[in-house]
Amino acid sequence: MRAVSRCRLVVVLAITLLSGCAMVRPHERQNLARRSMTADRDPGEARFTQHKTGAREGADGGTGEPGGGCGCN
Amino acid sequence: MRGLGIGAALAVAVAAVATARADGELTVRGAYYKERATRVEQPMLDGRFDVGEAGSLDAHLLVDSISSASVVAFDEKRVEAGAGYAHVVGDYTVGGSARYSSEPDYKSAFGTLRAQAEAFDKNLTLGLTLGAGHDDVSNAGAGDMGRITGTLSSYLVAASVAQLLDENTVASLVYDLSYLDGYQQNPYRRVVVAGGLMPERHPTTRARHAAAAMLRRYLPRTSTTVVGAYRLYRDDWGILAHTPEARVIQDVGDTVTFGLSYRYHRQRAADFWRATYTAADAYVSDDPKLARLTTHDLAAKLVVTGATLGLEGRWEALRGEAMIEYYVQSAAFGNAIIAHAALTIPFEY
Repeated sequence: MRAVSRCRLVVVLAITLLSGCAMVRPHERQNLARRSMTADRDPGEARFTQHKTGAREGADGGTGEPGGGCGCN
Repeated sequence: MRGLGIGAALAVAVAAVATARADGELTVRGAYYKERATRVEQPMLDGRFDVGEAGSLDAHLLVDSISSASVVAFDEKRVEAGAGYAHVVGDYTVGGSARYSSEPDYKSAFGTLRAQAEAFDKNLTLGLTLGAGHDDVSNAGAGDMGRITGTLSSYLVAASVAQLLDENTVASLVYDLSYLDGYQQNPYRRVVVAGGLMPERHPTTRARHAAAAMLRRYLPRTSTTVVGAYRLYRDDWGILAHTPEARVIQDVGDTVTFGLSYRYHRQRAADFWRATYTAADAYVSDDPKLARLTTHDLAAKLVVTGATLGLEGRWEALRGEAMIEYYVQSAAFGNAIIAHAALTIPFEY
């Protein structure tokens, strides 16, 4: 019951926050389309960095990409 | 007759390519990692190609050359190849990717399926990734030690949401759940247990949760982009980790970008981690990654485009990159220096 209430609270908060966002029109997105705002890291840099931290830290993930894949354990 | 058919098909394909020009880019990158006992050199090639009006294909190939002078000295190469495809259908993007990695004592294959939906005039983007993989592990480099083999299955579910907050700000949230089932210890590592040496022994399953939030904001007055990120990680081995990160990317004119970043990582040790083990311990480990540890990562990056060098036409968009990074570790690995150099070549076809 408590978990359901908590879940409802999260959903209500999310809807409130999202509804408070201003609608950004396509012609207002020139700054959002800049490279620094979309992907300031190339796939190769991101992959190497995830590989490095995955091999040296006990935590991994949070990127939406699979980690591991090597014997650098 | 068959030759004519193939010829006609080729002519149609060539004509289609000739009339519908597409963009792509190729990146050549070299990465270097050096810490007290380990050195890694990794040349890699990344390509991205437009496929028709709505498709995009990416592929990569890399070689890891690893030299280690630690307790078990070794020198080996790992080869990895991967490819992905994404197709846009209205407000939806669907796709998938595959990756294969091979080294003498470790083979790994992983595949993903991805879907993304855009809503509210592309102000909100929702994403879902499902993945599964299979690894084969052995101690093939151990010489006369008894042969050890194992397999590891891994599964990934990742959900993401990105929201435009205004014309200069975007916020995003990613949640990953990965589940590992199989051989997860290092087949070469030995642990002191009650005065004797025992092979490392880890649990065979691991559920890993990671939630990461990121806020990016562009400051038009100074042409600066600031990025703040935080990741919370927890797994059922008892590791709890906090990882905040900040990046500043400064445009210098229209053709040069300079970036600075700092990342901090702190984690609690795994529940079964001990400084010394007894014969009664179910799991024994000498893996420094599973201990309580902190890391600091400081990096500086410079990106210049072809226009800076006076190149014209499509070569204006050529991109050169140099990066230097210092990685401070509280673990026994010691601190590391990392360097990258990359060149991205855009092309039309």
